[in-house]
Amino acid sequence: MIRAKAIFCGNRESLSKLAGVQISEPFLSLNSLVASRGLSSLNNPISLKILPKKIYRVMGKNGAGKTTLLRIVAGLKSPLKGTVQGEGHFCFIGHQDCQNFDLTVIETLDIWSQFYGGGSQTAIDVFALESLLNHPIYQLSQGQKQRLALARLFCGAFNFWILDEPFSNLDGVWIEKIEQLFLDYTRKGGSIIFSEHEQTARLFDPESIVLENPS
Amino acid sequence: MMRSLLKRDILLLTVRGTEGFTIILLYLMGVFLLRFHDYTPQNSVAHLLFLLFFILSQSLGTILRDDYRYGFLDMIQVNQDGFLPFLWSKILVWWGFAGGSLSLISAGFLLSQGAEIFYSFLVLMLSSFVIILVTLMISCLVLGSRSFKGGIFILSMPIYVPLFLFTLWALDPSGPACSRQIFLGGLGMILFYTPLCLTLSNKALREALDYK
Repeated sequence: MIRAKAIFCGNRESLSKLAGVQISEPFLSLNSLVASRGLSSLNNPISLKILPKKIYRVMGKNGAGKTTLLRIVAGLKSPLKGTVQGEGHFCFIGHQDCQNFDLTVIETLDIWSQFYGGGSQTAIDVFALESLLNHPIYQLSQGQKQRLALARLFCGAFNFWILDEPFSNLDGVWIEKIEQLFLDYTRKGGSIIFSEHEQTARLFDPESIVLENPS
Repeated sequence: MMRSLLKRDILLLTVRGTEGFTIILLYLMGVFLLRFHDYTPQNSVAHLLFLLFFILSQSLGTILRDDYRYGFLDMIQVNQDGFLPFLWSKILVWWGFAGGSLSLISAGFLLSQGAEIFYSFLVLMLSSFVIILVTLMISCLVLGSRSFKGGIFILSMPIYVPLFLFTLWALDPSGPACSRQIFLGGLGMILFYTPLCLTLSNKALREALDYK
């Protein structure tokens, strides 16, 4: 059976805020949350408040339960124990990124923006998709598909983003651009929870939840 | 939101995907083969319905599997509390395209056999709606089941019994005297199937995401 433990770490200032003082109403509260795969629990209970203007990072190796945890936070999966409370309009981007390979980039963006009631032009500009608009998705590279997936964030107005490995398949230039987007978004009051395999230096200093699987 | 779902389904079924044309091609082939048999108009409608059932049940399962794998169902669940708009979009687009076009092809075929067209067309349109509704529900149940998928498919078969009874009644020469009676009978059948199938489909899709 896989046993996992969750370690909560981050900078001292933000930890003290989480421990006692609330800077504002949290979007979401995770209360003693335990994720599971089958009947096996993947982590020790996690309690966390997703506050505005903050970035949270879920870290762990392959199979540690990062995606499972994010799916629970997004309300797509039931936790083994604990609850997720709160409300807000958020966008969840998982590994499967809502792209049907038969559609073109512009068709996909139009569908997303109609679905969320927003526009697609900002997404096109931010992710430099102009030259790819009439290409079917199966022609795109992995990095271009990832940019298109992230473009969904700009097809509507969301309080917070839940992103499963948003930096995967991106080159250095785009990683830096996305980091800058994260900063801009949180400055405007949004909050982000994302996952990645290991601690990587970023332009921002996220709170980190480490999922460990001792074998 | 409904507009975006309809647009996506229409694009995938007709313009970008090959699914819609495969369905029509298969149906045309089936109708062509029927010409070699000396059927009565009633028998022909029954065979066309079977053909419709066979083709639609084969195609709908694949479409749902793609939505599940590509995470489109995730997007809907996150944004909406339930899948009803998604399910209605699928039903309407499939009924409009597959049910409508296949019923028209059938009407053309039946005309050549001297059958009463409006009568047969009504039976085919009403029955195709129910076939789409039920096959969609079975696809959702299969998607949501953790194991024993084949068993679920087989166990769901009795749900077609009211449709079967309606078809028998509608096509029986001593059955309904006019199209109005068929319409009312079909409406009753749709009112029976719609809440049942939509409720079960909704729950099954939710279960499928929980299992992912």
